[in-house]
Amino acid sequence: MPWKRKYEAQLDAELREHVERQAAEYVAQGMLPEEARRKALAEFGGVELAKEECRDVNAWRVVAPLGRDLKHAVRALRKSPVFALVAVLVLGFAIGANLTAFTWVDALFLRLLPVDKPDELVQIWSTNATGDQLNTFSKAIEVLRSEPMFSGTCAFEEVAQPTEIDGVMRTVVGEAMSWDCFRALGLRTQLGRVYTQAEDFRSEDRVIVLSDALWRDGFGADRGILGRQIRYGGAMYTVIGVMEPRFTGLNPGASIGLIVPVSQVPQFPEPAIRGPFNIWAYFLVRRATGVTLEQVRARLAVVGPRMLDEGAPPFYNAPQRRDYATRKIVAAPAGSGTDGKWFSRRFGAPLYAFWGICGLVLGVACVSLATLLVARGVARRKEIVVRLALGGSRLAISRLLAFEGALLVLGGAAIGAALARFANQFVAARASETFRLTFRAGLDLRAGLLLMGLVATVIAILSLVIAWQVRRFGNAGLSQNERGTTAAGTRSQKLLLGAQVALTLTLVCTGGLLAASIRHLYQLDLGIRTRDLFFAQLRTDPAPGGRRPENQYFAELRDRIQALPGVTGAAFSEVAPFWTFTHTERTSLLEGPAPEIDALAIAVDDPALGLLGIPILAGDGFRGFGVASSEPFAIVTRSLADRFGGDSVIGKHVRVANFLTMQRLRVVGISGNAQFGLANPEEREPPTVFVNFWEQSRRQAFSALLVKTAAGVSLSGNAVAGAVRSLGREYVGEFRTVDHAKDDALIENTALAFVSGGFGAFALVLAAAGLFGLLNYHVATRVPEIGVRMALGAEPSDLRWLVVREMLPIVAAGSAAGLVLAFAVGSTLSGVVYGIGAHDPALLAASAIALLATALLAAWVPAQRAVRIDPVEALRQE
Amino acid sequence: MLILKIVELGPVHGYGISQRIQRISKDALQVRQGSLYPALHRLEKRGWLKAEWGESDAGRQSKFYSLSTEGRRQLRRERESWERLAGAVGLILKTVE
Repeated sequence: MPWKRKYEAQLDAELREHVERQAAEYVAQGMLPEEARRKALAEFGGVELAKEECRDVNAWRVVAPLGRDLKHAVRALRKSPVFALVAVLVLGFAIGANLTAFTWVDALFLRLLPVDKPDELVQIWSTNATGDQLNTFSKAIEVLRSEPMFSGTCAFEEVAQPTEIDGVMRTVVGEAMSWDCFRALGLRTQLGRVYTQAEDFRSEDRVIVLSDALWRDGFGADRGILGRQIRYGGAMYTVIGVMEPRFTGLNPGASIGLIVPVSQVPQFPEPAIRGPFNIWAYFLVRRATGVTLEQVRARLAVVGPRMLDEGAPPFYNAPQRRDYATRKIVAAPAGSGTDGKWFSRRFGAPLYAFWGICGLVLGVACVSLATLLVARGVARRKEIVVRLALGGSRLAISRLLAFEGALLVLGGAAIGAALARFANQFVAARASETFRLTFRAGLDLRAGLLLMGLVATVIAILSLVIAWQVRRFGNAGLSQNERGTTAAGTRSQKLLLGAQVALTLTLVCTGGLLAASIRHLYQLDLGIRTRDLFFAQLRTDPAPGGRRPENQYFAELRDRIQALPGVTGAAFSEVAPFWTFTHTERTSLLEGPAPEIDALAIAVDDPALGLLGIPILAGDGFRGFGVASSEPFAIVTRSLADRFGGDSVIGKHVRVANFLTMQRLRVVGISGNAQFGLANPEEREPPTVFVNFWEQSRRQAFSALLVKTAAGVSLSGNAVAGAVRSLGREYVGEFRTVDHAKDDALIENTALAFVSGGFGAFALVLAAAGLFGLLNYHVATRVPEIGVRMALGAEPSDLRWLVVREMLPIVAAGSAAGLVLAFAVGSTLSGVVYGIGAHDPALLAASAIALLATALLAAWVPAQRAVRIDPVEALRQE
Repeated sequence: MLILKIVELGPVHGYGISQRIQRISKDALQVRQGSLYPALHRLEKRGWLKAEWGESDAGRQSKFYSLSTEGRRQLRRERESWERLAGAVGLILKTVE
């Protein structure tokens, strides 16, 4: 700061001149120079002091005292390291939790699409009669392209395919994008180019654009990558470009590896088509200048039917076309990512609940820190009052104390950021392992801003508490007796403790609620036996020239698996048990006037039901193994049979949606109810049609291999994978126990229960510590009184009561407020809580009792201390 | 007010001011010399004094203080209020006698 240096120089010159002139005068009067100078200095009275006072008058008077305050604050905190440590840890924990929650909410729901002007984008999809958000056949985009209302259009869908990179097969998520996407979204390559309309064409010449992530991870950012051939799915693709780094995909939280033209999406088996090719896709359009979302919706109402008619898949038959035409075309803003994806449906409510709980924890941390500060304020009363008496302004003293608070908060923020980093890495690893999701959940600018906001808020709250307390002490003054200020201090401490008790009870209730919910979910009888049951997710290896696996292959595979040591049974199922992606189909009874039912349709083979422990209650199971009958047959669950007229359904026929092979299925048996999918755990005994695996060749791809072992056998995934690979047609995508699959299906509920339970315990400990501190202080200040009481013959129980009584109003008032708060929080949690009322009275009561028990525990030590007081010793103090 | 009155006589440096204070008050006011400067700086900051660096008699750079327009006004105000107070006190003393 040059201005400061200049000021210092001038100040120095001015003061020195004064002294020199004075000295010169004395010399003129006949003094020796040395003596004259000493006398002049003495009369001046301290050059540095004068300088300091001058500086105070001037510009950086704001800055310099801050430096002094900082020094003071560091010194004060160093004197009480335990207080500082506890405060920093509590704050660090709370801030870290909030930061973590925000990072995930942001990554999944708030962050804007990584494209140009995302707020102008509108996403378009179609819904069926039940309102499910579905992708639409991509041919329909031609209707949108001719609309002047849109300045750009884009058809896209995520496509995961086995990809060979340097001879190693791995599944890479690609974004299939129509040729016009790049212009519509404003995307550019950092290397090479994007594909043209002429290249978005199905032929042998295929092109691909790599994402920045795959280019770096898979190819070491090799700039000579252009022109290289990559096997993606079953075909070879030529790399023509590398996308700019910002583009990570169109779904929130996605991290795609490559971009492939819609017409060149890998298919297995490869269709013999040369020309444009369509897939099931979602659409994005960019609104032209001045066009509103309402105008887009109005226009879609007009052109929507044309999109479904002209854009219907050419392979549809008449009933399928009719059904497709009943869909509705729907539009929504796409700024923060394309919606309707499974993970936002699945994780949305739990994540926001998690964030809310973290907010509560931060509240608890703030209040408990304020309590600590107040308690400390009571202890430092003398210092504060003396400072006030010496003329320190209230503002200056509050600032001094707030500085200590700010230091603690900054320490907490540092720990919090570190914790959040760790938590994010942990969750991200878990997410990619369990859900094949890759998130960029690093701490970025937005998280940094939130962190600063949190820090500012906490400092503001603490400063308010401090200013308020200093004001009280100021009013009480030094002359007043000590008890007045002490009482004022403990009164505010009690108030804060009450608030802390309220927030704690809320957290305990929430934790209890979610724990009860997860317990309920695990105790649900899903109708499936999971003991000693494993499953392997089978994936077709689409090697060029490969064939789709068929019945004979599956029969052979089954034999090989059954030959493995320890294996007692093997079976095939279209989906793995406890799948969370299942969706229902319109199912109707062909004979009789029964209503259409939304039912799951799952292809299983005969032993599958047996391995899963699903009993056949009436009729037969699938007769024979590997046999396709003249008339395809089905087994319905008890819940579906009951809606189709009970046992009389056997021998009748059902139709499932528009699936070609399911237009007339003869019902041969009724099975027990089983909850195969866990997309919605609340949906009990879902109506299900089990169709014959051997008769549904279209449903054999991506099937699950169920393996039952003898009790206690730990089946090796490598043995199963080896057996699958030995047949050369498929590979194992994942291998797990069915119990593990259930854990994963419920992971968001488990995590939420675990986290909120942990936070509840954390809050309980804090509240107990606060109460303990208060009561301990209470006993310490009343030693003489207790001594007198003892001398007068008070019973120990009376004395204990004396201590406990002090705490009861706090706990009672806090609990009352907490119950109200818990009631409110419970209402917002109804979406993530299963099998227990959000306002379960027993749970609320149990939480309150747990809190009271903790409070009594906290009171125990001070109470014992009161009892152990020696009356003689106590009276001597008086 | 004393400082303002002294500076009113013309631009003067800090040492000069302290000398004059001692002379005028005939050593009745024994102010620590060092505490003069914060007062000067405060008055300067309030805009009542102007400060300039200039050549002094001895041929070296000194900081000269002079009265600003606002300072002149302030001096008048203070003088008036002092005279009012002094008058009032005089009146009281006379009445009591």
